[in-house]
This record gives sequence, C-alpha cells and structure tokens, in this order.
Amino acid sequence: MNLVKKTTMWPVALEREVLPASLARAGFFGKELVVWRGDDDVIRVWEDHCPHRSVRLSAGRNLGDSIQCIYHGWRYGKDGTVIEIPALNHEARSDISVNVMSSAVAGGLVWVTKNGGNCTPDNVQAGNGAVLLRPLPINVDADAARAGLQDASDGQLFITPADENACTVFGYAMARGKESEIETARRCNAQLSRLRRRLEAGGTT
Amino acid sequence: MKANEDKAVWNAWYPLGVPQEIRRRNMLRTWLLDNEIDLEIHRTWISVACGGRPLPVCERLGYIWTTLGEPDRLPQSLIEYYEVDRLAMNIWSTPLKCSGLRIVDNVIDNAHFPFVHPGILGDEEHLDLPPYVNEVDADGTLWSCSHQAWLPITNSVAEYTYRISDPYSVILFIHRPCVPGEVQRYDYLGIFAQPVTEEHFIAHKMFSWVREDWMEMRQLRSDQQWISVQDNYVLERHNPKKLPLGNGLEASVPVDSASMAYRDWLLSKDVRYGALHGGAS
Amino acid sequence: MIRLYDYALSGNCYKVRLLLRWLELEYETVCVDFYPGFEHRGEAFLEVNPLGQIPVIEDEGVTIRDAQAILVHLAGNYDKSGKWYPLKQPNLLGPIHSWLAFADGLTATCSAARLHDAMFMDVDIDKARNGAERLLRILDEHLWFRERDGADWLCGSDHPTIADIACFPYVALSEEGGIPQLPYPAIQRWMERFQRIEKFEPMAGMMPLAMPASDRIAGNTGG
Repeated sequence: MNLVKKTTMWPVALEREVLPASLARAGFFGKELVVWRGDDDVIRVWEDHCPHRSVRLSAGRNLGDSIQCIYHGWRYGKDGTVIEIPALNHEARSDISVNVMSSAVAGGLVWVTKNGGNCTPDNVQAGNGAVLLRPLPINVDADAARAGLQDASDGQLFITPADENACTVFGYAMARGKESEIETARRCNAQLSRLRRRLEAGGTT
Repeated sequence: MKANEDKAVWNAWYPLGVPQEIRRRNMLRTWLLDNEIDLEIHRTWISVACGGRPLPVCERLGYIWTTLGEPDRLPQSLIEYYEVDRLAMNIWSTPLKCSGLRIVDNVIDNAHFPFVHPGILGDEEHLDLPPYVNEVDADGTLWSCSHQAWLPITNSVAEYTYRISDPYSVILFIHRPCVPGEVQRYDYLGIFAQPVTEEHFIAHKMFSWVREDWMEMRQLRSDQQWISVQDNYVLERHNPKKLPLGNGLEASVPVDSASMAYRDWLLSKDVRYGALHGGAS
Repeated sequence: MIRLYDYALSGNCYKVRLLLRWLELEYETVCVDFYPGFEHRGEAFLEVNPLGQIPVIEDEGVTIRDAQAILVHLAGNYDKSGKWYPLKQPNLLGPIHSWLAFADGLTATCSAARLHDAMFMDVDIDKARNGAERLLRILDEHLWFRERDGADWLCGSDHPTIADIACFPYVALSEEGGIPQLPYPAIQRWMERFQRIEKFEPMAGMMPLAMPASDRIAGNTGG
C-alpha cells in the first residue's frame, strides 16, 4: 500500500459524488469548503463563507450558474463574485467575492491546494482496475492517521486534514481475484473501519 | 476578553428567565458573561448570587433580571406591556451557539425575510425595501424606523420600528393599523439575549400583542417559535460566531443600513464582549 | 377525522405531518405546548398518553402513540400506492422495521442532544453526541453502498418508504444538538434527495427554500 506523504494538494471529494444542483461540504485544515458542480459541469471549490454576513454558503442552494446564500439570497457566480443582490435592485457587485480555492479533478477525486498554488495532481496512480474507496472520516489528526493506516491494504491512500483533530481518508484499492468493484470497496471499507476503531481508541497498530 | 472590562456590557441588566419556568425546572444555576450564577428559589421570590456575592434582582416584562455591574438605570422599560388588553407571554428561552450580538443584528434586518421566512414574513416577489431612518436619541438609545416590508400572512405591507437601548437587547414595535386621529398602538416583540459566553447566549423572546378574538396562546407561541428557529438556522451557521465590528470583515450594502447603524452604535459604546475587532479572532 | 397531538418543533411530530401530507389525509391538530409549557407532562395530556410523549394520533376511536407506530398505521391503512409501507413485498418489511428501530436510536441521541441544547432538557450530552456519531456513521456507510447499487433510499428500490421518513427529521436537525453533518457526504446527498420528493415541506430548522430540481441527479448517483 502506498500512503502518500509529501504533497501540496489534497482530495476533498469524489468527483462523481459532486452532483448538479447540490452542495457538498468538506473540512480542510480547519477551514470549511463548499464543493459544487455548475451547469457547465465544472466543479468549483470555495471557502464555505458568505462575505456579506459570514453564513455558510453550503446552507444555501446551487442554482447551476451560481450559489445562492440562504440568508439574503445573494448569488455568487462561477468566478466567485456577487452577481445578484435581491434587495438591492438585483444589482451585481463584482468587488465582493467569495474565497475561491485552487482546485482540479484527477483520478476521480476533487483536489485542492492550501495557499492558492496551482493545483496539478500528479501523484495519482489510479491504473486499470483501481477502485475508488468510500471517504472515511477519522477523529484523529492526520499524522496519527498516517501512522495507524500504514498496514492498510494494497492501493493508495490520501489523508486530508479536516482540522487539528480530524481527517478524512480517500483512496483507491485494487480488486483481488474475481472481486467486483463494490466487493473491493466493501472489503477495504471494512478494513479501514477496523483500523479507525483502533486509532480512535488510542492505539496505532 | 474579560467581560468586566467592557463597561457597556458589564453594567447592563440581563434576563435569566421567567419565574414559573425557573420554578418548574428547579433552575438553581445559570450563566452570565462567563460567570456562574446561583439562584435560590424561595416561596414568593427568587434571589440571585455570583460566587457568594448577592446580585440585584428585578422583575420586569415577565422576566427576572439581574446585573453583575452597576447599571445607571433600570432594565428595559416598556409601560405598554402592562396594558390590560394585551396578551403577553415569554415565547421561550432558548440557548444559541453564537454571540448574542448576532441575534440583534438579525432581528433588525428585513432583507432576509423572503429567504429565511418565505411565505411568512416575506417572499421573493416583494424584495424592495424603502430606506430606513436610524437615529440615536438623547438617552443614547438607537432607533431604527420606517422599516416597511411585505407581510405575506396578512397580504399587506407592515411597518416596524426597532429600539435598542442595550447592546444585547432589542424591542420590535409592529405598527398596528390606525385611522388618523387615533393614537398609534403597537404589538411588541422583545429579543433579550442573556450572554453566557462570547459565543453562546440564551435568547428570551417576549411577546405582548393587543388581544384579538382569534388569538390562541398556544398557536401564537408555536408560530413565533417556528419563526425563531428559522432564524436560528442562520444564526448557528455564522463563521465567525462573534459579530465583526469596524474591520471590514463583512461587506455591507445600502440596504444593510440598520445593521450598519447598530454596529456603529456598538463601536461608539466600545462594545468588545461578543464582538470581533481587528483582523484576528 | 384523524386527530394529531402536535408540537410544531418536534421532529417526531413533523414526520407524521409529512406522511399525512404525502397521503393527502385530512386531519386536525391539538397544539401541545411542549416547551416551555411542558404540557406533555401535564394531567390532561397524560390521559391521552400516559408515557407523556408526542406525537399521538386518534383515528376512528383508536389511539396510537409512538411516531414510528403512527407511520406504520397511516401508511398501512391509507397508502393506496402501497409504496410507503409495501405490505405486498414482505421481504422489505424486515429492513424497514430495522430502520424504524434505528430512528428510535436517533430520537435517543440526535433528538436528545437537540432538546438539551435548545430546551434545557436534562440529558447526558456527551453520551448523546457520541451515540449520534456512531449512528450517523452507520447511516452514511449504508447510504454510500446503496448509492453504489444505484439505490436512492434506505430500503427497496425506486420509492422512499416510511423508513426514510422516520430517519430524516432528526438527522436533518442534528446540528441543532451540536452534532456536525460535515463528515457524512452520503447522508447529505440522501437528505437532498429527500427534500426533492414532490410536495416535501421543510420544518423550521431545515433549509426553508425549495431545492432546485435536477433531473440529472439520478444519472449521476453512483455513476
């Protein structure tokens, strides 16, 4: 198993699980992110924060061309700027913008970088027969998770810190024998869940 | 920050609850401004102390009020509350996970009605809001007037006036229909925050409406709680939980004039408890 | 007519109102002032339900308490489509009832935490939140693998059942009890699907505006 260590980008969602007209959430180094697919089929990742009154954007709606904040209905277009303030004659305000994260899609995962650097995932080794695993949240910090997951199965795991005390494990695994994709996913999910129980109970192996 | 270093906040009165609810819950402990407050329930009165120090107690507008500091006046005054033709009650006392300043900022804002209370306090077909008039009177009380907003449940435009005399409290005056020559009367809603910590408070919601035949206490209470919980959905999704003041952390536009006036008023009183000054948290 | 003893902000009452709405049944409500009135523990209400719990329905002289039992009663007797509680598919009844029991677990954890946080109820809050996390992990895992099988709902194939109705409210309201939803993306997607069911009506504390339609959703799920 290949546990990816040094990296400048982290997965925050499975690409196929970011649905149209839907808002997905992710924790990322103490920040919260909103992940959404526009009507142009492009996936965008923003800080989950409305610059007007600091409400989570993920509490609102994905309207395809924009995210609408639940509080005052402000709409943020694909570039992250305000395209409509309903109570202000529907005016746009291009000077007000959400914090747009640098993101990319590769190997079936949505990746983001930490400080706005270019997001070009190059460490993904999803070859033929690689099965995407269910993202697994773990209530330990990323370093502890890395130590505890060393002996996980074949494939590749990526650990995204959610905050100082929690992380999410993404990854692939290879099918064994005549396993179907879902059987592989189930087997690895069960194994990772076992390791998670140990990790959260305080052990590392 | 230490609450006792914030004069405007420390020297104000705060409600702790309604006497009969305090008795029913046998509530012997509550919190105020990071301090544990002990209650002693006697046959006919309730006394309050903090770390053995007896605190002043006052009953008003249905609530028991106390203060940790030295207020220069009595708690919220609203003589009309006691008019005999009114239906008055505590809608509820409910804890919330953000600064109590956030709820005042929410109450005085009408632009959220169509989105947070659709079909009840507003709808997306009626988004226009005439400009408000915000002024501070000789007593230092902030008034935000001329709030007109479409009210779907009555199919008409309603007018609201807001009175803020303490950082953590606001009273809403709902203008009652009135013919020329008659004295203007109001239905009142009070939102009184009991700050537990800087990011946690108990909202006490006072109701005092002129009684009408259709009014049923349980239904009115239920409807008002419903509206509050719609607001709570937003209030508990703020990040940061404190209210930013004077640092440009939250962008404002002209329809936010009441909110901006409130924030300026808090700044003029140098309110820090529950607020976020400067860039860092 | 069916009579519902109701408190608007109770998730267990809400699930009954939702099914009544989806079955297009007429009913009258008796408003119980649960908080702060505490009427569910008052003499009058204890004669209706000695357990002191809401909701309760009275239907044709029969009194039924317990939200899950009420869902079974209503769907079993009045659902002409036979989809909400598919009596003609006995293989589904076991799974449905296991999720109804799971919903009781959600009441004991997510709902208890919410009553503690919003209404001062005497609850072991750490136990409630830890228990909720355990249940939400189980639910998220179940829903993730259901999606991989091309299924949208907790049980069965093409239509939600009372299992979904029973579990939805306290999952959707969990953050009111300080239980985060962020770690459960499959639950998030299931809640969005649920809110798109025709004639869905949110309860206060859930997103008040309608979800935009998306006819591409089904095609994308697990695809």
